[in-house]
Amino acid sequence: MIETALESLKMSPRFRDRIAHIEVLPPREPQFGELGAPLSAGISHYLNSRHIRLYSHQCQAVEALRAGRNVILCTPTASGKTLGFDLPVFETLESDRQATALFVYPTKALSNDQLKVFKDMERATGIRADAAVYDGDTPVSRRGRIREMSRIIVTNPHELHHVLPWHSKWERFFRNLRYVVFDEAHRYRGVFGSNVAFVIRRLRRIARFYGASPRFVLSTATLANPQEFGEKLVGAPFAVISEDGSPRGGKTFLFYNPFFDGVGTLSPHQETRDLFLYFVKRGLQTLCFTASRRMAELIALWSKEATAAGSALAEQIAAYRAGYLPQERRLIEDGLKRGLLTGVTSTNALEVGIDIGSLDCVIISGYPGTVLATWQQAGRSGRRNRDALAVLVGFQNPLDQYLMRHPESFFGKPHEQAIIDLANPYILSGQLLCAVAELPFETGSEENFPAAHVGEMLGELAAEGLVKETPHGWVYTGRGRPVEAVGLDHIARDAYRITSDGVLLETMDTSQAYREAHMGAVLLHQGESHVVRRFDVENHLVEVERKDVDYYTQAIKNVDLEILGTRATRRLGQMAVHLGELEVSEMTLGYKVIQNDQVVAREELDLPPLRFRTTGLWFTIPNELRRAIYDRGLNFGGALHALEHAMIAILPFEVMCDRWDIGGLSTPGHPGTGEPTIFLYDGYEGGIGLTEKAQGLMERVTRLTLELIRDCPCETGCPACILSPKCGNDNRPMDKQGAFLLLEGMLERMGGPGTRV
Amino acid sequence: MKEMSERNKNHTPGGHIGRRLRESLERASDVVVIERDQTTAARPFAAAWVDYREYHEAQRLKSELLRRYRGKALEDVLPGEEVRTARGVCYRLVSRNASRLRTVDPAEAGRRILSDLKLLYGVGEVTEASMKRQGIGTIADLADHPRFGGQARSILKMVEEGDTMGLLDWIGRGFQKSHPLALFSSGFHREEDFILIDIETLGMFQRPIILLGLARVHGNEIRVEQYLLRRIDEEPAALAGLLTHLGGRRAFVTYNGRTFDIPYIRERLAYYGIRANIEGPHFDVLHFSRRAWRDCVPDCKLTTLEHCFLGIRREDDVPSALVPEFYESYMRTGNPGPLVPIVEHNRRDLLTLASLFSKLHEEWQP
Repeated sequence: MIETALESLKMSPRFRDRIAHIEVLPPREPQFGELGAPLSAGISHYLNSRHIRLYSHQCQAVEALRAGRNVILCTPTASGKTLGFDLPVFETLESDRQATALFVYPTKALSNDQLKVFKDMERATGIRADAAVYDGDTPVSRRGRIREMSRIIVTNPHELHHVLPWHSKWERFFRNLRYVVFDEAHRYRGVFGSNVAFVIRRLRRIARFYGASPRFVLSTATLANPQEFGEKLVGAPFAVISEDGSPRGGKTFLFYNPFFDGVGTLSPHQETRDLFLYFVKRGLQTLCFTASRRMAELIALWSKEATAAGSALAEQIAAYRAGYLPQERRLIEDGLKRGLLTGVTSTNALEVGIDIGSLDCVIISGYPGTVLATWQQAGRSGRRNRDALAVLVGFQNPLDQYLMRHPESFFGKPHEQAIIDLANPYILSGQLLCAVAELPFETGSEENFPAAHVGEMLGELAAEGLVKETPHGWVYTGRGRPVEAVGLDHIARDAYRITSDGVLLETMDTSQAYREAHMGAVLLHQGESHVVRRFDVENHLVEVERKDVDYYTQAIKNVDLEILGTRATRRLGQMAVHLGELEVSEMTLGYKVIQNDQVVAREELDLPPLRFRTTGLWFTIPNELRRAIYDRGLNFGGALHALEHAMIAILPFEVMCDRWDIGGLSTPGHPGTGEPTIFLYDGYEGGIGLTEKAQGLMERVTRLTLELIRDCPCETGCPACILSPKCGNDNRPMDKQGAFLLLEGMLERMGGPGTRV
Repeated sequence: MKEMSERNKNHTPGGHIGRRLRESLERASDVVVIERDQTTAARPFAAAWVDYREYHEAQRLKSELLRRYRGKALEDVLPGEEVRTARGVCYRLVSRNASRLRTVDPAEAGRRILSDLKLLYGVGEVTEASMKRQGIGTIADLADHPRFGGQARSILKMVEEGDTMGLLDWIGRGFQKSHPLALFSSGFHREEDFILIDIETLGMFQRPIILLGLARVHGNEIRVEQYLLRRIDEEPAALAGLLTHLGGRRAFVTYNGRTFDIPYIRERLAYYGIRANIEGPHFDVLHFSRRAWRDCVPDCKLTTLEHCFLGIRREDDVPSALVPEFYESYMRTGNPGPLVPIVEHNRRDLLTLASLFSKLHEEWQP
């Protein structure tokens, strides 16, 4: 069925030109494994009664954990990772009647799903663990019992952060702690991940205080740097298990580019609708992931309208999104499983964890931002004995278009690096304070905390009266509870609170709030648009109103920066890439209102300048390159500007982050260098490790940037290559050809492999 | 590591990171000053509060104390002694006060407990009345009862052995923890068994206990011992000092200690890794006072009851919520002035606690 659908798609004049790439992933037989020592009768019974035979990677995980090693499992979605660590945990709980295990999931929904698995395992194996979820929803009346009785506790990082200060009430649990499992660990990157890394260090400290040294298990999607990531997150060495032994049905992955001609005739949403209908009409069960909640609704609606009046097909199409009631969601999940629904549109609410069975076809409307998330969504289609289809619809932005033109970069070996930064002084100071308040901090024996930073930081905290050095170690003497002044999602607690009708929607770091939630801004929250009605600088409060609008806004800002110091210089042939501390001043001047790609209004804003210190990288452009640009009559400033935009746009492809996490400045002359310079900096106070990582990947980043510009069919620059929707200078000046020449010259001077043009 | 430390240096000129953190902690701080126009309903939940006038009076008091005791040594202003403990040296102030604890005698306590048949699970008002009509006057009469015999014998045993822990537990489960019979269980203890505890801290959990006050009966006096931290690093020693008073048939008497003082002490012991068992029979006078006097006093703050029943009006007192601020001011300046009212406040609290404990027994005498 899929094959014929695919064949006619390839032949169809409507679709065929837009097919940018077809990758056939052949079916794979399972690789089973054997365990050195057999599992106990109870656990074997659990597996046998479910006809489960262990795959090779599951066996490797069990053996590594039995051998006392920390394990990071990074096999794909649905490969049965969970079993790989659940089994050794239960094995330990059975042999040691006191043993306990902590499971940390990023969301409450995932915690509750996992709890069901544990309850099931307890029943089938006869091993009592009193597994329980302990999070913000756990009633106070149940908490004491869980702390005192449960041997498996499932929680989330925020709850863990708040629980650690109360460790004396958790003594039994921590004293016997043998395993700590972080599932979906790739989510712990960036600011959130760096905070979680310290929460884990605090947990390890407390466990050690009670005489326990638990093994750690991380389960992640495919990463380029699993070992480094695990070691940074936990602060201990890891065994990496990444050879997937689970079976796969065949899958065809199609890249579909509405902008194959550089222009496009229909919007990518309309293209998505047509593809969706195409598959649904052929009876293929299809799930369509959209970028926003509104689009999920619209595509479902348009599709229903497009079906013949009175046709049963309209009944078989539904939209699914995060805001639905559990009951409505179950109905849809059930409809999919039982085949009553043929087509469902969804935001990424369905991305992980929720069981909907497997489908024939997945459409991903717009690159979700990471290769990792794309594979997770694509993993929703596919059955063991049947072929499946996944389609990625490219949007008109640099990353999408780069992928459309370089599919090999997607299907090749993983290259996304998950970044954690233990050196951000804002994160470190807050977390250090939490640690000091939990147990006296003895600088000599806290190898888990970055020693070089800690000493100085403690001195600074002491000067504020927050800590005091005593013969028993540093103790906490400040006001308030540190965990309440330290959040995990932000650099600093003075984040802006975004509220709608008095309900808190989200919180944002100051720089993000200035950029995205200024007065009059259109703000997307979970795919729904809101208009900002009040921006209160003093109280860090933003009030928004839920409203559907047909325009969007973008802030106009002016960036200035000063080099405070150079930390490291990396020489690449004749080029040099510097990394150091910058003081950035971002002046938000106003914003543009954009409707149908036209600027319809400009509004001024009166906001104080935002100054912050961060980490950044920079490089200067050699004189002869500059001359070459001038000699050809090109715009040098425009060339620098275009290069800066393209490089920022491509960076998330290597260093997992959002395009907006990185700021930039290009200038034909900077006082700090005296030369034409391009700066890229971490958009977070104190830096978050992004540009630090990028410095080490500079040849590759430069090459990708060059390919992005070279392979875009536009003449003078478009949103798919050098134009940035959030450029503070209105995307002016811009010189695409000049940028290309600069990149070519840079690569030559870096001594990297020659470029083909 | 070298390059990292350079980075750190670059980031903290002028200590702005520490300052920001302190400010954000202060925003999340527990003490809130209630402005004049704020109604009770608008008072922030779960935060200690002081009203506007109290706050300003306290500020005036603090400045005056700082002036009066400038340049004086703590040891001269608050004479005490150094005590050596397993966890180092701490500083102790001792005062003797002509006062006693008056409870009921053990026979009376036993009689009262045993005459309440409702202590048996399954016996309610109606059954009790009918049993009493049948001449069953006390639980002792039911020792051989086919249904209640087992329970009756358990209670008898606890009464005979003076097992207050067991009795408090039993009474608390059947009735309420604040039931008069729970209070009367104290009658199985000698006066010397009681240890009255009241702590002063730098805030609500996770911060040091700066004064650990306890009171015990010695002969015709109540002896108050206060372990005062001259420096924060004396906290483990002060905790160890408290521990020397435990053991034996000790019973705790506190005001809200069930929720605050005892868990707080437990938490601080855990913080320093001091292993100690501070379980024991516990008479929380706040709970009994609420039951006894809720309807005849404006609130059940210790100072309110002190004023209503003992006619004491404190002069130059530091409101509990401002103790942290006073102590911080001592830490900052080294001037012992602000400690003077803290020590007096704590001593006064302990003595009032003793009086209220005695008064409750009187109140509930038939």
